Amino acid sequence: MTRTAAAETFSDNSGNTVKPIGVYGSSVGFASALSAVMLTISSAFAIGDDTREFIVLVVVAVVCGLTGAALLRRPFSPSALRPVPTMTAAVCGFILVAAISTIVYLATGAIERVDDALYESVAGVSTSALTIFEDPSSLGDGVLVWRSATQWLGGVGAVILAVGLLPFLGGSRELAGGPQRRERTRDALSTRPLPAIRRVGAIYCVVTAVVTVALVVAGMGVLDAVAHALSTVSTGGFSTHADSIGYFDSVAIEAVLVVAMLGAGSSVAFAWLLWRRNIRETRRAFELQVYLAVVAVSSLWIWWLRHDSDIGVSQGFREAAFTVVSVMTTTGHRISDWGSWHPGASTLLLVLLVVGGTAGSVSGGLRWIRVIGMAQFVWRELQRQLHPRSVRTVKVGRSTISEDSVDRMHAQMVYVMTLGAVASLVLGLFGEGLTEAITLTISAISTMGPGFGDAGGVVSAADLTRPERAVLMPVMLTGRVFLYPAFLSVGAGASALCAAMRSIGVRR
Amino acid sequence: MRLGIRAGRFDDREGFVTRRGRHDFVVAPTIHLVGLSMLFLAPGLLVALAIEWGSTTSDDEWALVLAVVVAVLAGGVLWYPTSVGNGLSARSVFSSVAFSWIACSIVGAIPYAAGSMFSWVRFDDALFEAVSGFSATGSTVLNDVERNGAGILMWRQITQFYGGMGMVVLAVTVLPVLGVGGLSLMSAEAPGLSTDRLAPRVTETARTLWKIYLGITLVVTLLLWLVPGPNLYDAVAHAMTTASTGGFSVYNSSIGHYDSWLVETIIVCGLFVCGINFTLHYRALRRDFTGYSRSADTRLYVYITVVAIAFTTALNWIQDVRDTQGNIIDTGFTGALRDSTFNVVTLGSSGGFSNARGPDSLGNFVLWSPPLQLVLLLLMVVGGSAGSTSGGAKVFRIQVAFNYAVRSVKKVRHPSGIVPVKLGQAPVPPDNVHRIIGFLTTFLAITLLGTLLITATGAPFKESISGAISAMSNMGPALGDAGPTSNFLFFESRLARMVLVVLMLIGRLELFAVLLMFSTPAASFRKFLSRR
Repeated sequence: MTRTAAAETFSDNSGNTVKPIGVYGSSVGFASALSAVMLTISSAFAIGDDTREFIVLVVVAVVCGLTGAALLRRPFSPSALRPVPTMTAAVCGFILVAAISTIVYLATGAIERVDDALYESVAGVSTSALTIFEDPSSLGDGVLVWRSATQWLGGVGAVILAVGLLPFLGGSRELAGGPQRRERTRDALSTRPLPAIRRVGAIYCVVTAVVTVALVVAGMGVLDAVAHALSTVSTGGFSTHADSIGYFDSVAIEAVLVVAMLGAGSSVAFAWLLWRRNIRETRRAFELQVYLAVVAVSSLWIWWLRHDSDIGVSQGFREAAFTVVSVMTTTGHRISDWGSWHPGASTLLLVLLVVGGTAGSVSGGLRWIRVIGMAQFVWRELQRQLHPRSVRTVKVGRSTISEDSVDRMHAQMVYVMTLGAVASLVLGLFGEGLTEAITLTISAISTMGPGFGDAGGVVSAADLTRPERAVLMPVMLTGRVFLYPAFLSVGAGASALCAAMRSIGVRR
Repeated sequence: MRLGIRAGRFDDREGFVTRRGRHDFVVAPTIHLVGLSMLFLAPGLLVALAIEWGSTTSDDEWALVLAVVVAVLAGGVLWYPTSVGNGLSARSVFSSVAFSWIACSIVGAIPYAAGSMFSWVRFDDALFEAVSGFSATGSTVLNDVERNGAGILMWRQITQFYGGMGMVVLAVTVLPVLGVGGLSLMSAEAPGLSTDRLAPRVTETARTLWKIYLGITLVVTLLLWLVPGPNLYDAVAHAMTTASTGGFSVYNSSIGHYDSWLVETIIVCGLFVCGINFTLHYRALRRDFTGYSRSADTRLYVYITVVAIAFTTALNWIQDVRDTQGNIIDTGFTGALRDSTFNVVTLGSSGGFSNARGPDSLGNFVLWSPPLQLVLLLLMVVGGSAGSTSGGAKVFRIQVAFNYAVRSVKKVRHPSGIVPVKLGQAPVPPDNVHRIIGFLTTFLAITLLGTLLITATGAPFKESISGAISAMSNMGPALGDAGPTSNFLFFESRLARMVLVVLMLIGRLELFAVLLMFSTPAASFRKFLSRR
């Protein structure tokens, strides 16, 4: 792996040449800067609450801010974007935020053991809701907000990766989401990574603010509203209460959250188009239509399956709709323990969990565009059995998906299944039951939240032993970065290690 | 407009042509094959009838007589006036295979429904038992197997014997005119890696396959009869379901009835051999043993089996396995090895026998620890090699899928590189790769759909998903409360059992036949509509 030297030189205002930073530097800088912003916001909530928290948050914020500022002042040349280093740098960004978060948890005393703090940080950054806290309301306000903020940061990172980086690094353009067009000469967000990243960040911030205000209007307190907005827009799922959203028991709040989750599960490109008032483009949204149709049908089906139990009609529909949206967008907010529902309902939810949200959104899972693409592929193969010489293309809506992209879609499915099988096996070896292992693994790869067991109920990280949590950490992170960047990063790390060992003279 | 049920030619442009002129319906080949398959059931039914007659403990002869009459009459009526014409179109292949199997299943269910096993009211359970037989699955909805007569039970075993190699392959052996379409017919019933021709003419190939199949059955019969335990009836019965990797037994506790490691070893070897491509056995009979080591998927099949046995034996030996009351089962290394080997091989080759000496023995794999149950589930999905009588998604497809996935990652690093998908050393053409990936995706989709339907009727998750996988892979037992010492009456809803019946058929006929079975009638119907 050769390093390309930056061909351009930069100079700052006084005419001295400035060395540009590579992808690693900019990733670290970006992550630090954003963390600093979030830490500042969290510290604002800790003001009246707990002095130790406040001091820790402010100190860490200052350190991160300075690092970020120092790194980001250096110019960055986008022509230096190559697939493997960029993906590795992105993964490093996630790990850095997790490390910052670990330090915060340990320093404020919220968590005592290092591995627990690391686990909670990784669960945050990977936007899963597999928390180790059975009762989060015992934490201080600042830490609560920071906890949700880690999810927000993880979501930002993931969506930047999905929309701003991977399509330009050899991934499929289709997975950047957005409306389907016959020719992809103009992507919805941008044809270059940096403007796309800027726009994504802007949309994200605006949407979070809007959701916060809406939640306050719906009846939540400011702290709860901020925390839940942060964890909803990132489809993370951390809550400030043990019963999650069930604590509030309010239709208004649930309605706001359902709309917010649906929006978070839709592609960022649509938000951008709506902002630019480009309504015409938004109509060609086959994947989005499929997604919404599935939400509607699943809600009705689950509602019908559960109509025999002792809940009322409207309560049943509330629970069905909220849970379906929460699971399909891989958020993880709960108003009822869906693991103990009718097995038809919980199995359907498990299958929907594997699929996840739409492409180019912040939710996890395989994405509906891959399912649509694979379904078309299967149809084509069936037709080929009858007409062996027919030529058909795989289409989503109006846009054709290239054969390479179809290959990658299938490969992604193989990765998910392999990772799922291996992780379930390891979890089982550490003592989990079969159903628990399978549901936890699926939940971790799709970055949703708790699983369920044979007897129903919720199996969260609080019920797991330490080795099991250690196994789930890399699984969650891999799931968040869409699997193959994690594989490539590990490969790159391994080959860098081999190169380093060779350079210090370790010979075979 | 006339029905084309006379002898005639299948012309490319004119359609089905007889001496009297053009005909609009082209269902003749399908009907002909359906009739022929039903006629083929008659000898098996007669054998079962003879045994039932001779048996003093039961008198279900009239049920079998009824079945023989229906098979001969219906089969004859469909077969005699029709013909295949000059050859089969691609559409007709799938319809023929699918409808033959459905017709045979219905005829095969008549002895169960008319006799004392089930009643006519429970025809769906009779159909379940029949389909489980023909598809060589081995799941049962009988609470007490031994209650039934010797002849009826022998018919149950014979259905698996038929289904292992296939009725359509049997048809190809006797119908020289099917030579042209025979290869695709055989491929539709059980596609192999490449339809290896064992002989220049397809009829010869089909005959050779059946000869090898019969040979294996005879060898296993002899071995089972020689060892202490099984009598001749038992030996024949179990040999038939071993060669077909079916798994039906005439005893409630299956092979656990004998509690003999000799019997289990013979059955294990028989199942393992039947999970390997029959083409390689043919070559071995001609003294060419290199085929086994050169075939990539055979190597992987052996490798998977050995690794699985090692893993399960180790964990069963080291970990405490608790029985249904919570007491620890006392097993030494040999006990763990025996039970692990038997269950791994029987599931890996889609057999379905059980060597549990009761619900509290180590042979009852639902007691094993969760990672081992997951390993068993994965073995169920993977199945055996292509060109064998075992089920599952087949080892070579998994190999190709992995190779394909790894290649995708390589292409990210080298976007302009040319990296072919390989099976062992040989590159696989892209069309085949797509077909394999399409098959795997469809397999997964149908399994998930089946699971969703079964859970919607109220069955729990673990039993439903393992039941659906077991049916699609033609395995036999499931996990949880539908395990090897239980039966599929656990699925209380009749709809759930019907879903399993459909899954068993879809899985046995390698998906495409059932999914495309209506294409010929649909095309004929469309032509009929457009004639006006």
